[in-house]
Amino acid sequence: MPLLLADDYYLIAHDDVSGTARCGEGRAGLGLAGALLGELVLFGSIDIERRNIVILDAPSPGDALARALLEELLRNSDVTSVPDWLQYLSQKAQSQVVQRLLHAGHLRPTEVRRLLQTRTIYVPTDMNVAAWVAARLANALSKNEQLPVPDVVLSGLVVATELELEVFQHVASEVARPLRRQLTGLPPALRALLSETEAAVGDAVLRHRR
Amino acid sequence: MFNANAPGGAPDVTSALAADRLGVPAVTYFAISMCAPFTVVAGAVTTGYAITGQIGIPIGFLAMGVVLAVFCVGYVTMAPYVPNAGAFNAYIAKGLGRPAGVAAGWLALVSYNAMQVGVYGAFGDAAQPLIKSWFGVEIAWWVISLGAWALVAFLGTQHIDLNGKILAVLMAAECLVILVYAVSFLLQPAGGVVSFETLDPAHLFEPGAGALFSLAILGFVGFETAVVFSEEAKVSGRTVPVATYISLGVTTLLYVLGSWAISVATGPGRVAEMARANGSELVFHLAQDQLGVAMMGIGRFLYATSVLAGLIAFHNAAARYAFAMGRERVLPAFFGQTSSRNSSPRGGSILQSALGLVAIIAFAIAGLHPLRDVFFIWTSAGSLGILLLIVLTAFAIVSFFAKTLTPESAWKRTIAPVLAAASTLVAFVLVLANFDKTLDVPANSPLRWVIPGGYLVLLLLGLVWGFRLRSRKPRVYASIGLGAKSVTRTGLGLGRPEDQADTAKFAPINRY
Repeated sequence: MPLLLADDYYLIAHDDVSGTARCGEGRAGLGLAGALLGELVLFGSIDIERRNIVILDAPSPGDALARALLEELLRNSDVTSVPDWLQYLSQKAQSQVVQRLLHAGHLRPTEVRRLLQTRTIYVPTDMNVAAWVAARLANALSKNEQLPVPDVVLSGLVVATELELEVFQHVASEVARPLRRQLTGLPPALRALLSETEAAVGDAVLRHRR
Repeated sequence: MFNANAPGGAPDVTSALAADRLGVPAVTYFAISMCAPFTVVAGAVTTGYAITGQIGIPIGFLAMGVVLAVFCVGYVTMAPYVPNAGAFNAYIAKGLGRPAGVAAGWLALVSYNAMQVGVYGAFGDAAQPLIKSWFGVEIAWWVISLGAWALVAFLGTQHIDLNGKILAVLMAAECLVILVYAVSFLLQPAGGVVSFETLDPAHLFEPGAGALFSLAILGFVGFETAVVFSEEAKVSGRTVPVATYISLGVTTLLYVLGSWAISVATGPGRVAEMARANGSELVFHLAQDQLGVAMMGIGRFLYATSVLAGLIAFHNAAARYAFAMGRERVLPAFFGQTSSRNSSPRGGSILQSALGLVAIIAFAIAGLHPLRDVFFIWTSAGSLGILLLIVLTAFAIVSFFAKTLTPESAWKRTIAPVLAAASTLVAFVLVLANFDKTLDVPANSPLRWVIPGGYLVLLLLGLVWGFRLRSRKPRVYASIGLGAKSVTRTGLGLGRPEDQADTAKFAPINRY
């Protein structure tokens, strides 16, 4: 069974040996932020209208982190701009998603010695789970199969954070076109979220931000 | 366990975002460091005195500073409505139409790259005496420039605008040295008289005055970068304008004071002759005579670091122009890629480094003089292009506010932009008319027409390309001037299709 969006994204965006982000911390942070908001859209808790988050009247999401994020959105209803939330969440999304993956047993902490200090890194408990996420996407896309909606969003985040080569590898150019078609078929809120994530990644470059 | 915002714990979203935003000091410091003031005073001013034969350089800086301040009124007012603020071509696409935006993008790319190539010459010239005094060896300027090239090429792909703190300290020291030198020069004037000759506004109306404006633009390039922070300024609508005016004011003051003080120390009658004899060393020879060897050494060191900072700034500016156009797909997608490990504009950076390398090697083979032939000619060519961009932007601002209703005052929307468009156009025409004097070539030299002619051809080709995109690639056409907000990677665009169709309706998010 597939994991939640941000968990999947974390696993494919991070190196399974070194535990570091394959696209740099800043970009992975934005990708994770996009994934966390994407989960809320998928849970039906929020909608996105004209670059702003609209909280919907819906049953509470069935995941603790998603619930906590929804509560945070409610508490800070004065801030609705998607770019602002992406920026804000990108700072802390990583540690939150790591906590969730640790809790579910998909990551384990490992001590590594770097120069004089010891650091804790997080690596997948089962390499196959991490590898399977990427393979699942590449496989279906190269066969031109329709992906389930969460996986289309996941693939969209891969493109938005420029991880195509790492994730799709040798089929990267082959899957570009079918993926684009599936992305265009997404519901408006999810398309908007992916657009905002891509724009945030690019704007960070233009504004000298990490 | 997931709640980082437990009561009494972390701050709320608004304050967390505010803490991440930039205040006036940070933006000001950034804009001033982009100008590399000591490079201008020690390198550009002395070479300007030597080459142009004009002594009105100080009053030229003052006049251009005022013109740019008026230009900035409309510029900072329009910034929140521009999706890719910080890039002239985005303003032009919005005000004068997308084909003009494509042409302006090409012009910007060429101009900033020409600037960068020229500054490599200045670095060779700046570091040569320093290396000689430290190690007693004389190394050819181009070897030194190649060393700087390697460093800049490396840093360019590492997303390092150098360590912010180191750069801040160096920049502050730079400004301080300009002040110390200037005070000393003014206290020990040639012939015992402090002459105000070079500050006489009459110089602005002499034949050849265009050369003064060209030099001044060279000095001020970098002032346009503060608006890039429009969307992440602490107080929107205030931080960026204030920082822009402060940085313009500070640099104008430093340039006027520095260039005037040099002419006082040598005497206005002899400044051109002494500048010709000594090159950029003029400032340091004067400093050595008046302040001693230590102050001269500090000055030389800061001159070299200032040029290096300037190199990094121009490299990143050129690379980001290429990046934005790559994202829009006006340039191949390669230029819109970021490097895998960090968020630096990889494609643009590689392009810039390749051009720089070819240029340095070609200049070395041709045996050119680093300051006169490389720095001055190339940065003058770059300045002309950037001045043309400023003129086009000024007209774009007028046009934008004429067709878009916004809540700002008439001064910001109409009066200042019209004044700016008229005065920048006059400055451009003067520079063009005196371009032979700027370059120090005979009046009938082909070079004086080749450079502006090249820009003209480039603009026309850009226009043609823009119109071609409109008929052949409407999706690319729609994203011209949007920069990173073009969202061409996922191909989804930003906002609803109807918002996307017309960038004039681009709605700044709720902070505005």
